[in-house]
Amino acid sequence: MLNFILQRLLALVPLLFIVSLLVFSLVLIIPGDPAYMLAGEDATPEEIAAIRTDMGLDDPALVQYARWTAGVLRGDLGTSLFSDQPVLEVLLERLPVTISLAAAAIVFSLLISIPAGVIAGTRPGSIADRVVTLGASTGLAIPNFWLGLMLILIFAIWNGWLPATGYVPLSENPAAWLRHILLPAFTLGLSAAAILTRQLRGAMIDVMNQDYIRTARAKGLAWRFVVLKHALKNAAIPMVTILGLQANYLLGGTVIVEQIFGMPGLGQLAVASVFTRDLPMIQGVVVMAVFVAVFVNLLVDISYGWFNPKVRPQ
Amino acid sequence: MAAPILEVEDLGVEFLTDHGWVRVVDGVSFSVGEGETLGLVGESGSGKTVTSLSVMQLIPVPPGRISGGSIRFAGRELVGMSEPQLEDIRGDDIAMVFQESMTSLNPAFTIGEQICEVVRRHRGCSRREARDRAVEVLELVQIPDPRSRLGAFPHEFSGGMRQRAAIAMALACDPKVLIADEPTTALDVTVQAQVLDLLRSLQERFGMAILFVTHNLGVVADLCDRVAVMYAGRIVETATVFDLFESPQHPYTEGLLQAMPQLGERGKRLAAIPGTPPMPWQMPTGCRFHPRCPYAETACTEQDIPLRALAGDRHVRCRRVEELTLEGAQ
Amino acid sequence: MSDATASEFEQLGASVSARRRFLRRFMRQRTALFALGFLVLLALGAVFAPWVAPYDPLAQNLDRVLEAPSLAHWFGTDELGRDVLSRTLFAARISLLAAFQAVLIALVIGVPPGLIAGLAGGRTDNLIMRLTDALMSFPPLILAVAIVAALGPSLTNAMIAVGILLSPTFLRLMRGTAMAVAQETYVEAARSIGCTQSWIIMRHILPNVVSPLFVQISVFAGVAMLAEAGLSFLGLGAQPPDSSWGAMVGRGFRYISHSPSLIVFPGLAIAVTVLAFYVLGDGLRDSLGREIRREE
Ligand SMILES: Nc1ncnc2c1ncn2[C@@H]1O[C@H](COP(=O)(O)OP(=O)(O)O)[C@@H](O)[C@H]1O
Ligand SMILES: [Mg+2]
Repeated sequence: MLNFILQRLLALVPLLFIVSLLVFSLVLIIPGDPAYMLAGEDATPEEIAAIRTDMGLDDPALVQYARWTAGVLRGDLGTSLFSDQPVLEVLLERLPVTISLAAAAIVFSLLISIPAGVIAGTRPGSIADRVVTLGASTGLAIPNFWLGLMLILIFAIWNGWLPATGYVPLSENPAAWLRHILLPAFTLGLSAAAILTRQLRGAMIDVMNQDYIRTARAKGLAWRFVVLKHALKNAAIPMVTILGLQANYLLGGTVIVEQIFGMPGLGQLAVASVFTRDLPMIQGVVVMAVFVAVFVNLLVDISYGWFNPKVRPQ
Repeated sequence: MAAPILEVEDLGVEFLTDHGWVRVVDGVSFSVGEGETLGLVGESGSGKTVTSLSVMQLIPVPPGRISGGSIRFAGRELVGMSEPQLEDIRGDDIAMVFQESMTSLNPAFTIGEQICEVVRRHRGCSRREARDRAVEVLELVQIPDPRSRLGAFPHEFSGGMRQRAAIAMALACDPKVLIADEPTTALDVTVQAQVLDLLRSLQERFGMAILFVTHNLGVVADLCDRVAVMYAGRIVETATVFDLFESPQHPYTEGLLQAMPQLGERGKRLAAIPGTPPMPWQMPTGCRFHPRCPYAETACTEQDIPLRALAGDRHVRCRRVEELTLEGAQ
Repeated sequence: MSDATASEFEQLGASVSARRRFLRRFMRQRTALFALGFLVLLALGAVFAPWVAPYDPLAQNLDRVLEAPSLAHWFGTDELGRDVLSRTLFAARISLLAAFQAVLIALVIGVPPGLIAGLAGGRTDNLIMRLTDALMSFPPLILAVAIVAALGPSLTNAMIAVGILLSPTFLRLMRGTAMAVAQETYVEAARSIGCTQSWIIMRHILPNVVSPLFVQISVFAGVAMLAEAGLSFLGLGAQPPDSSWGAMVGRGFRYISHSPSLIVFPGLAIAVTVLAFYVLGDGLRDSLGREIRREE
């Protein structure tokens, strides 16, 4: 098992190398001059030149890249142009918010998609199936920012049942955390729920036609038991793969959802940094997001072996 | 014949297809006595699997349905029985081994788990007792070092081993009837012989009744007491193995015998039956075999032929049975 | 030589009749046809917005700000007293155009490298696929935000970002088809008689990939519209005075408790249009028939 994980980690090296190139190249395509921005409106050309040299912006791109990568490897993501704080510090402060939002969204999407996918996939063509399929398509088509606003309108503004904005750490007050996370998690998780439902429905239809389902029935096992044990574990195999992909989308979605619900996470930071043109911060957010995404996918890979013994390492 | 443990009477099964409801099994009757082995023989598509699944009450509904007839196990009617009652019978009193061992075992669970599960379902015993029983039956089917094999997954077994494990799973609760649907068709010839030997020795030891489904008459001769020959969803002939091989009464049976490689005379060309079986939605009128029958007359095409009882507990569905003398195997 | 010509004819004949069958199957998909009809109507409404819209979308009327829907203003008015229905109609132009812009960019970025990877194989293929994998390991919207941050907020830049995000799927589709076709004997025969790559591409790969490509384009038009809406909502896409549906929702956000209609109508427009693209895509996919679908 350890071998397997090491192997996966090793396979990540070229991927992360290319990712680092892409992230770094953001600096190169940026049209404005960061030194100019830093120096302020009425800086003299000499001052700007001094800042340029100071920041190493006059060095060749390759040198700049090497310096930046070395920094990243040491955990030094630079300093915010906006607040002068170390980027990593800001990121680590905000990471728990984003993680707990994304995790809650995943839990939520599984809570919806597993029953819906199983019900639809074991009765293809039925009314229940058609309702689920239509619901999934609609869930995919609704823009998540709009859904979030509608939820705020209904549950916060009109009824006052749940808070519209803000975040309370889980460790501080679990009940308040839940009340604050409910609407954002629903908003963020709906499209993932829709995709997972479609996927599980298809896999379930496939699996239910397999011979081993008939074998299990021939052993005297009840239909419900066969569905939930024999069919679901096999149908989960493609679903786990999709879940890995969805983790990426969910992280991306936090950009919008955190903005709407006023949650101090990475996504909100990314948008704010665009408007302040805080490039080190944006690079830091991207690096952190890729890091989390890659880590989640590693976890997915490992859990995959549990569902599908054929790929399990010896 | 011993007292019948499984009686199938006038069974009809239909499927909803592009051609509407088609009857793929039509008026099938047979019975299996306690401790008896009945061979159910016919070309592919003749309805053998559908018949076996009907006995298990596992026809997929939809698209299928049992349109009529009766299936009795130890005198109890299975058609229309409630699902919980059926579940108590399946795997306990009547067990089934399927054709494709590759696909009929669940790839996501260990062999041990899949055997234990049926034991626990019907014996209500503890996890450990179930494991002991699993080891016992794996030993019965001659899987070496069974205790360590409990944790193996189906894909880690060879085809022959998988089929043995499937047999072990079926035997785990000492069924009174074992249905084996072409259990050796997917295997190599040598492995085939081993699995057949195994089935025979298990039958001698435990005395369960076996409904042995195959398209290969050669296999039947080794294993079965009696044979029912199926063609296009109907039984066309039943007899003891000896009678059937010595003096087949139906031209289709004769054709099957001639097509048997082991028994053909040296130098004589194998005579495969010309033509192909009809599709269930375009069954010929009259005798369903007449388009392929070398002895067919105009009268054979006109009306349905009933299954007629002959002396010595034989049945045949041919209107020319008295006139014809058909060639048996030596 | 004559062999190659004969099988080439067979191949062409097969793909022509496959396409005809595809069309016939598609004509039977009622919901998909309905979706297509809706999209055509919407496009017409957008094109003829100046004639269809009841008001000038930019005409302010500070006496009638933030009004609820009424007979005079079916969708109500915004914070400057502009007619929301007219603005929604005009915004359709931007939203639709932006979606097609993004898909076009994705095609331009994705198709040629996909073809090259599939035909060249080996190291080239390996390199291209690694790049693609790296691109796909980014959380998409975060990457889009980063690209927009680098290029500066504008609708075109936002659509470049979205196009980059969507391109890997086209790349994989083209690569898969190119690889499959390159292994067919008639292509090897064509190569052996000295036909050029571009001839092979035109004659053999494109006909095979047209239908699955259309499925993907339809679905991605929906995805791109959602992405554009999201970025414009954040203020990273369409910039005033231009307005897309997403931007309208973004501006309406401030007045959510006072005038929900500012948000409801453009949001519904997005949802319904995106759903139409998806349904159309599903219908196209179902019309593909098994033989093509398996290649996907
Ligand atoms: N699920 C099904 N749907 C429609 N037709 C079926 C189905 N299962 C079996 N059949 C039809 O029933 C007939 C008998 O099949 P089967 O019992 O499998 O034959 P055998 O086992 O003798 O080869 C075939 O014509 C087959 O097409
Ligand atoms: Mg069969």
